[in-house]
Amino acid sequence: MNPTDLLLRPATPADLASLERIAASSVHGIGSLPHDRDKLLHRLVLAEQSFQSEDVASGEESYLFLLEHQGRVIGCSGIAASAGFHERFYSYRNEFMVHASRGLGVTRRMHTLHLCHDLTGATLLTSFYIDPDYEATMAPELLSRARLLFIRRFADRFPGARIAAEMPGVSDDQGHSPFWSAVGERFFKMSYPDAERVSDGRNKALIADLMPRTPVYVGLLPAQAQMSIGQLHPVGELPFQILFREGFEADTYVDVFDAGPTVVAHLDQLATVRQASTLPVRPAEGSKARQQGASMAEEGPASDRSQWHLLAAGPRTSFRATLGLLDGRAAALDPDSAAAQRLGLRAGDRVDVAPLRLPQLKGAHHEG
Amino acid sequence: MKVERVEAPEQLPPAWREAMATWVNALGEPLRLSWAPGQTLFVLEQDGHLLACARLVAPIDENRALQDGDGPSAGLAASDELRFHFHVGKLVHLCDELRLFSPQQILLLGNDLCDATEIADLAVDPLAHEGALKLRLLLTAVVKAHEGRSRLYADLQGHRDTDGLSPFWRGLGARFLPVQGSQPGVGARWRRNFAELLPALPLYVSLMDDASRACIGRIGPAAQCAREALQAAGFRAGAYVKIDDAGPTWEL
Repeated sequence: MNPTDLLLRPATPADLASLERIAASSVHGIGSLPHDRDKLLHRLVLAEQSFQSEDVASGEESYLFLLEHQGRVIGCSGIAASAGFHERFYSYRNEFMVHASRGLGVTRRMHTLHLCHDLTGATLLTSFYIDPDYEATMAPELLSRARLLFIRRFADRFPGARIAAEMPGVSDDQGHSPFWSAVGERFFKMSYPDAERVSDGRNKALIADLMPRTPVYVGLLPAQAQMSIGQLHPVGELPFQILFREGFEADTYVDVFDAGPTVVAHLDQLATVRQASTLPVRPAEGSKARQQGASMAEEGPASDRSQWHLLAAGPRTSFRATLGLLDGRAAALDPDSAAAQRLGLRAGDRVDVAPLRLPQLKGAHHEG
Repeated sequence: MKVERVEAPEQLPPAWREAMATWVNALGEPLRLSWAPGQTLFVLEQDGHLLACARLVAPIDENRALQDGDGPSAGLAASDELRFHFHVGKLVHLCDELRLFSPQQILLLGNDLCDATEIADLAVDPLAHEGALKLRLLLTAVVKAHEGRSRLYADLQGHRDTDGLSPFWRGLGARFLPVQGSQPGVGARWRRNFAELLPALPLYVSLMDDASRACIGRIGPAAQCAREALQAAGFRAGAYVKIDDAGPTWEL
């Protein structure tokens, strides 16, 4: 696969068939894509309105992007402008309470889960799905991280102080989650997939209203449920690793339903955002040599200093992002480069760029 | 048979003291042979032979609660008498849109019975014929003597499984105090200290394991006889259970 053939763009209602295909191949309850044509169409209509809306952001915006490879849709990713929008967004916050008895000379650190609304209003990354054939390529990076460039580019549409993403928690093949069985199901008498369906994926406020109102003492739960807290479903490994490398932290919040980790960060702490810059599009001096460089990109790195970058440009409705080789110290993007052409850029336009490869995180030794 | 009052431990005849030392009370615990002023031991005796006993522990009053610890009752005073119970209550979680009506049982730690008089060390001679009847005679006399004063209650031992262990302790208490092992501790003072380790906010019974839940308000073998006697004397199970094994509190 040639990474320069990838193109990320806003989804529109005309993409219904592609989205249906993607939803059908995603695991139920994961990726927040319902297996329901009407709901998917609604989602696309809402996405189109969100991209088009000129009004001051209301928080109801729900953006959806599609990733194409040579014109074929291979994945999607989304952003909800404000978690919980006008409602509440529920999470469980990990806390440790120290219980002590002087008389018994005992001090005990108890792990508790507190139902909270901390992330209400945060920007929420949603709906990540990539065709399994592309998992080992650079495509997932583009699909996930282009959202960060979008948020950076249109920062006034995202007033949330924090950015968060819910990661799928552990569940078996039938969708049964040990945490749900030990907690949620005791209050709802319905299976996890049913509860997801009833609560309509995104709006969990309805169900969370019924949850226990006091801290859950983790030590009182069955061992299997205890172990599932903060655990990631294997299908979430890829999107999780991308966000983890960005600088998201996963220790504080878990999902109220399946206890999967909800990762959070401040936008300006994220590696892509910190390393991003905005370049003008203009022919470089020695343009001819550059052109050759760009064409060589079809086979691989053009020179030692050329590195893969995420590139994003355009107003909201025609936002585009792709991958391209660029000298890390370049002051401009050549309009004849493959990336500029893929993005439809001309001299005088501006493009946001960020290096694909992020500096190694401190403490990320487990990656080898 | 007649009922007598023993106001102070020193007034206890040696034979009774010896008998009491071998009995267990309705909690399945050994009896206390010394007690603080303000507590009274009621005994049922026949021809000088001890048949049953019950010790009344008056509510803590402000004076005793704030008493300095150097009086004759030092070490036995008020703070040890502070009693903790779980109030067994309900919270209804309601959602019109989902047409869900979900009543939830909750346990709330508190000192709700601090203004009531406790009948402690409720016990009967294990060899006595028709023990429950004798205990009832004693209780009736206690109730009569106490008439017009604060309400009365008695704690009963909670359910034990076939191994003699408390599933409620295993499911709740042991998670907060693992060093205690498979059996809850003994005595009011221990329970008072243990209470400090429990959550101050309501605990949802739904989140506990099935065996623990089934224990709430269920009595254990040591409480059988006392329960019969309490029932016959007009007492009823109230809304409180013990914090260690969820044995019920019977009130009048």
